Parts: sequence; C-alpha cells; structure tokens
Amino acid sequence: MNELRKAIYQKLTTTNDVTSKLATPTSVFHGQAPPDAEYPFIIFNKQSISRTRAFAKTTAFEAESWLVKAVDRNTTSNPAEAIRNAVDAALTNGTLTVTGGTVEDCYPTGDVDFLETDGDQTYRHHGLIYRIVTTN
Amino acid sequence: MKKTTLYSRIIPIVAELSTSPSAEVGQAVKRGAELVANRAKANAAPSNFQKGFARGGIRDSIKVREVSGEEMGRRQTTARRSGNDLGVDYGSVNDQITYAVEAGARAKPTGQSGVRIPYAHMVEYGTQVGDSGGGGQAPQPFLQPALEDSIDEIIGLVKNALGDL
Repeated sequence: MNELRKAIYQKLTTTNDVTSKLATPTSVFHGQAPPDAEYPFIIFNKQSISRTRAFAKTTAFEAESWLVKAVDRNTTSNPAEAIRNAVDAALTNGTLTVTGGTVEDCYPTGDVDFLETDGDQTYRHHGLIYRIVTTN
Repeated sequence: MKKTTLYSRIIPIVAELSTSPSAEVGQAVKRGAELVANRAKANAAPSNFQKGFARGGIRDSIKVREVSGEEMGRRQTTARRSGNDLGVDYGSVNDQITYAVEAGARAKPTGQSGVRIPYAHMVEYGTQVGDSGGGGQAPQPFLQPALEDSIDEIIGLVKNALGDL
C-alpha cells in the first residue's frame, strides 16, 4: 500500500538518530536517488507482497517485503553501517502509522551488504530487508 | 562482492522438531527451492528488466545449490561478527543439508577491462552507477517475489513430507 511507503518515509525522516547521519535530513528516497543527491542517503522500496485472504473473501492481512538501505560513496563502510543500525533501531518492532490499516509487525528478515565500484569510486550499500505485516 | 542468495529457513524450523529430519523432508525442501528458482527465472525474463544490464544472463544463472549445515554455520558466524545476526540459529543443523537459490550472473562493467563481476544482487537491490557510468538503477527484485509467492507451497510440501514420517 502507498500508505506504508509514506509511513516508512515519515518514520525515517523524523528519527533524529537516522537523519543526523545523512547528508541532509530529507536524504531518504523511494526507489532511486536523484542524480545530484549528496551522500550518504537512504533508498527504500517494496521488494514483494503477499496477501492472505479470509473467509469473507477479503484480504485478511498483507505481508510486504521492503528494502531499506544506506548508500554512501566512501572508502569505509562505517557511516553506511551506522545508518543501517540506526534504521534498524527505528523500524524493528517500531511504530508505523498508516491510514486505513494497522501495522501488526515489522522485523528484519535479511541483510543487504555490497560494494559497487566505478573507476576509483566505491559505493557502499548496507541495509536490511523488512517484513511488514498490515491488517485492514 | 556478495552473490544474491536466499536461504531456506525451513530446515532450522524442522530441526526443532527432530535432530535428524528424514530424507523426505530434505527432498521437500529441495523441491521448494526449485519452485522458487523457476519462479525467479520467470521474473527474470529479459523483457522484465530495464535496459542497462546483461539481462538474459541473470535468468540463465539462477540455480539451486546444495548447502551444507557447516556452510550455514560459517555464514551465521560471519553475520554475527558483522553485526547482521538475524537470530536464525543454523548451529543446530551442522550435520544437515539445505538448499540455496542463487543468481550468479557475471559481466564486465561497460568500458572496463578485467574480471567479470557478479551483478545479479545489483539488479535485485539497485545501483548508483548505470551501465554507461552515470545514473543508477532502481531495484528490480526477481528473487524475493519468487520466495514470497512460493512460501505457502513450500510449507505444504514439508507438511506432506512430515505426514509421511
């Protein structure tokens, strides 16, 4: 649901321990950062969704997988890993407020850590895959 | 560089039921992994990806690999050391076999010579640098949706196998 995207953005941009580590307090982007974005920043997007139906033939709950990762252009992973840890503290079992639904659970199910090189530049991706369960 | 890998969590669950799961359960887990791999291949059809990647290579590289409990134990130790412990205890399955679905596609970065590097994880999780050296790609997940779409069937396969014990 789009409401979940808004809720994650809201949570990340209002958590001081997260925003204080980013290039700007709003360096949180859905899907892809703009080309001129300063490092480090956060990218988040939905990776998958599964719906469980109930007897009344309506969706009883939805389980969505969201990727939330810090991206930095740096010679060390320390800043990106610090952001990842701050995101973890904010989201895991955290309160996410969505309109028209209730977030029942939010927990990490996998980690994402990789480097990307371009010439003499190294981009560091450090994040987590979250499973977020919502009911209507 | 990490390859993009999804590990079944079925074995740790089964390990709680028995210290020595039957061969039937192992085969059920393997069939579940194959189910995920086939769905991931369908998701990884070249037409499903944006331009900028060696797209067909991902689909062709997806495979099921047998993973020993010892390897899972090592991965758990590595994860703990890097602060990524997710609380999944693979330590109790050291004498058992599980299965991983992997996409091991490799390619030379455009305009660069040298070794071919893994890139499937960059498709799954996104990049900052495009194929032509500018503008990254948003994530285009093909493994995670395959796993989500298969979970109920995998549980059913294991249930049936347990029913035969």
